[in-house]
Amino acid sequence: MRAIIEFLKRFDYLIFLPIVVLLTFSVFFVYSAGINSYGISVSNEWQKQIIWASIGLMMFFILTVIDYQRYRDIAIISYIINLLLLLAVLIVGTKISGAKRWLGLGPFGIQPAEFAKIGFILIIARFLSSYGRNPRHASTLGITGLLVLLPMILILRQPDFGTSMVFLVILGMMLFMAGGSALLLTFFVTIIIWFLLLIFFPLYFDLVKERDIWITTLLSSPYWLGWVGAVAFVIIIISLVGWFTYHKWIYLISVYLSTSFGIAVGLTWLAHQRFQTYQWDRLRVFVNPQIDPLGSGWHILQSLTAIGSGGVYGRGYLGGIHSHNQFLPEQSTDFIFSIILEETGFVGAVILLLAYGTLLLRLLFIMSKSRDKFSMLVIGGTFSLLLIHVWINIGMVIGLMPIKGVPLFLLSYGGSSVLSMMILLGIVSSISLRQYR
Amino acid sequence: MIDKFVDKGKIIALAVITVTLLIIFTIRIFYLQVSQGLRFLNASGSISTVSQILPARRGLIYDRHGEQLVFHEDFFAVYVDMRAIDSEDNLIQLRERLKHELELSDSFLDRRMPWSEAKPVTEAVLIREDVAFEKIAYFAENRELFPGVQWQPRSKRIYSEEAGVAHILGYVAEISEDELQILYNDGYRRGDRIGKSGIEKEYDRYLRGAPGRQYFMVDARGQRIHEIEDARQLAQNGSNLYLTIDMRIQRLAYDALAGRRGSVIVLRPSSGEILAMVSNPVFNANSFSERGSRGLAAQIMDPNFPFINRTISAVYPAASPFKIITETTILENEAVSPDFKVYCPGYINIGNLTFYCHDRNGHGWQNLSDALANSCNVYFWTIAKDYLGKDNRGNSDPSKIADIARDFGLGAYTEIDLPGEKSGIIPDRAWKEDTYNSAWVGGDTMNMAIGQGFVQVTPLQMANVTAMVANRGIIFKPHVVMRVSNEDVGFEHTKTAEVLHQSQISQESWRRLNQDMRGVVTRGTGWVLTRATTVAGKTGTGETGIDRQFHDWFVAFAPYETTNPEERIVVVVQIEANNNYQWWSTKIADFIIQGYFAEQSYHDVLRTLQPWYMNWRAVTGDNLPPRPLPSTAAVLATLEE
Repeated sequence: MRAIIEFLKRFDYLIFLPIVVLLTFSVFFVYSAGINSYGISVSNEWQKQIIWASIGLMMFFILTVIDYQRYRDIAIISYIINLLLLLAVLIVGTKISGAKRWLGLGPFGIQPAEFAKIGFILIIARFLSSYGRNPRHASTLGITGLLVLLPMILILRQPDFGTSMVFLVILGMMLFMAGGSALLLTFFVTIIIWFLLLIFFPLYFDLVKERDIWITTLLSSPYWLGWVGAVAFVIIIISLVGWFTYHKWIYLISVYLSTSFGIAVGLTWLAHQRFQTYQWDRLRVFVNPQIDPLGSGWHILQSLTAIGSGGVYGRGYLGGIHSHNQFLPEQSTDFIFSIILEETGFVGAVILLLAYGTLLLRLLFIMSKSRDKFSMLVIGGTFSLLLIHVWINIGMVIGLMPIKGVPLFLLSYGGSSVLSMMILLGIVSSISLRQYR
Repeated sequence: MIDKFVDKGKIIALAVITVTLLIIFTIRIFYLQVSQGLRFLNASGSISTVSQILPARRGLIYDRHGEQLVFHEDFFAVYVDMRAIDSEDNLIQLRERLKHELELSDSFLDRRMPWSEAKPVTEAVLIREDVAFEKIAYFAENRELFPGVQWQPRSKRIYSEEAGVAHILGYVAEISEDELQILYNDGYRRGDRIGKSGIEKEYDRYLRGAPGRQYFMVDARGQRIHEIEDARQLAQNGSNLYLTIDMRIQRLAYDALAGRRGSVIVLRPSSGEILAMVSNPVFNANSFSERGSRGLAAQIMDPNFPFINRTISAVYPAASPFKIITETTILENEAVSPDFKVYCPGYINIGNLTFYCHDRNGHGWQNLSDALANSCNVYFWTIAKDYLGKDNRGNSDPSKIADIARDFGLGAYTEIDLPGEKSGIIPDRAWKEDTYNSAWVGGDTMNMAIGQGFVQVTPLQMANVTAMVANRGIIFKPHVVMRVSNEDVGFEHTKTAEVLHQSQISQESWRRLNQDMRGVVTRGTGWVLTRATTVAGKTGTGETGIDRQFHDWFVAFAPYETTNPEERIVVVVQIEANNNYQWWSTKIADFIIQGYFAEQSYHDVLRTLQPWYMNWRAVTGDNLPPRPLPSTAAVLATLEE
């Protein structure tokens, strides 16, 4: 009896409440997404979502009850099982739209890639929290690199470029939290900023302003990029010489900027070489959806229209025409947010953003109060996973990010995404229960 | 011992990033939903609506007295949208009801409306095409009993099949690719019905009206969900046409023609209005819209070409009526005096060839009036050859005749308001050189003088020639439509008589011509039985080159003299060559004139005129019953007296 009261007192409602809100929305609006224009339900996804949500809540409670140290113990095993599942899906998985992502179990299939994130977070957390591991050491980086490469390669073979990249981001975040240098992180961020500029600047001028200025040709052709890279290289050398000779601040900044720029140029060059047409199309359509309103721009335009037409109060539950008239593809999964916003309006948007915001900030809070490195890192991994997906999915749906189909955790229909996030949150909940005073 | 492993700074940084991200998202969503909400609301409307044309009611056609000649029958095509049916029970119920209401068979419904677990993705299914309006009204009033049932109007245009009006009215059918190429900019679209011949074609723009538009809400596959009532634009119905045709005269003319291959025109020379226009054989305009076009195929293959309107689209040698032109040429050029006599022995020798007048016994001495009355070829050959057909240098040259012929409107279009008119041929030297690469010879002139050879005319042109004589120098543009009116729009336009041509031929010539054409009837080849009025005309027999087969003409106007020129009519009858060479044109014109002025039907005309040359009783059905023999008692009674 006492245990129960204690449990109820320590239980982290700030994690639980947003989860409930999100799952409820999820069930209701997956149902709405399955209604056709005559008002007849043509899909039973909502029923499956109820099952997933129920199983997820069950697992959440079970995991909360179990001491989180156990999870540390099983980290390695889980990781290995994950790898085996990833291997299995490559061999016996079902091929859908050219990718092998599913292991079917009757009408209920799972995506091992989603669950692999759990094992990955656990093992990295365990590894980085083991005695004496410093992320600034090469050995640490090397081993973590290996640990991330294995699942990444297996996932890339499916092929699923996006999901594998997520692993890298999670790793980066966990390294950062484990003590990686802030400077290094900002350096990476600078590279990314240069890279984005180099990629999008020409696209913007080409597609929106429709003007050809010499910079655009300069930056889009591999040949000229080579020259730009060479110039950057020269500047690096000069700056280095300057720094070592004169020890003036300005040379250091120059080194920083030019090196990051140089690397970005290299990446841009790689991008132009390696990016497929469809990936370029996505970027082009992101910059200006109107260039292909019936093809690759369709998703963005439909999503924006659906959201915008929701107004302040929405079109009412089951009142959205985009969902019901089948205008938005993937409306129960990737674009569930658009459907919800069409029917609930700005009010609904605020509620959902608050739910996610609460969840994310709560995760940070628990992280700040964590008693050991392992739990901090597990929470960090979970946090970054959730943040990335929220960022990409909602960003895409509202037109601030290029189209990349990642599920919106706890809202999108899909057993694997619901369960994997519920498991992770269950672990976090277990930590919170035991650590937070 | 706790490591200082939690870097609060980093956590705060992450918190800031998170909050910033969410705020950016909120602002963006605010922009989309609140600031731009209306724009997106409109946009979502425009991609999810589709418009459909509401067909306009095509205009109707009436005769001059308001007798309706074209009818509409409204039918509907019924469809079922299977997505509205959500359970097998509902489907079975619906099928039962439809089976009962529309008289459909079980097997048909099985094929068209099967139940399947898979959600149907096709368009609505057509289940019956010719459903009457009452049934549709019933469906509309009981929508809940008939889920998913939709309908589209399909009206059928039905033509009067009487009296050969088909040639005048024409028919409608679906617009062809070629027509669409030209007419797209005028608003025609694929699948539109367009007039293909006759009035339907000529006045298509007036008849078709302007279509309206309906707007429907659709889903991403374009399937219709419901109509947006507010946006509906009603169609503007087509204008109605009132023809100059008088159905009484049309019937009279058709009956009088009695199935012979040829044509009849009755027009009013004072205005150009056409009172009757018959071309036989006739086609059936309704066979284009009926299912099972076996009748249509037979008509297309008919070697008698029923689709040609012979009054304007068929050309014939003008034959003897052309002598009117030749006489005019003689008068106008003063080639010889009208009293100059030529002896007709029944033939003429040119070189080592002999040409016969149509009376081989010869007409004796003929002056101009005699020659016209008797239609003497020899007279006209002689004058043409020796006096008319030579230019200043003595070469054969028909240009004097050709010029007069053109002055009568021959060789040119009459600009009638029907499509498919032919302009015929009036030859001259240049024409022959161009066409045959050989020089004009005297024989050509001779042929031309009697309307044979290269001369080709349409019956309507001959009617105009006659009209010009009756009007003494003016032809009005012949037309078939009297009035266009559209009540919806409040538009009405009545055609007034338009001058087609004003000739410079002298009034003296006209006086003579009138007199001589009267002579044809009173003392020549064109005698008639009718006493209802006075007739003037000209007969004609056109050679076809086949022995004993001739075209037969009669052109006439009546009354010959009148104080009210507006009551005059011109009648032209043309019978194509057939084996029964009996000068029927004149007789048919006779009947028509009698029927017109005495206001009688064909049968009553026959009963009045009692033409001895035909078994008219067989036509009217007036076979008098044999008189009953008196009884023996009655006979005895009379004997006793």
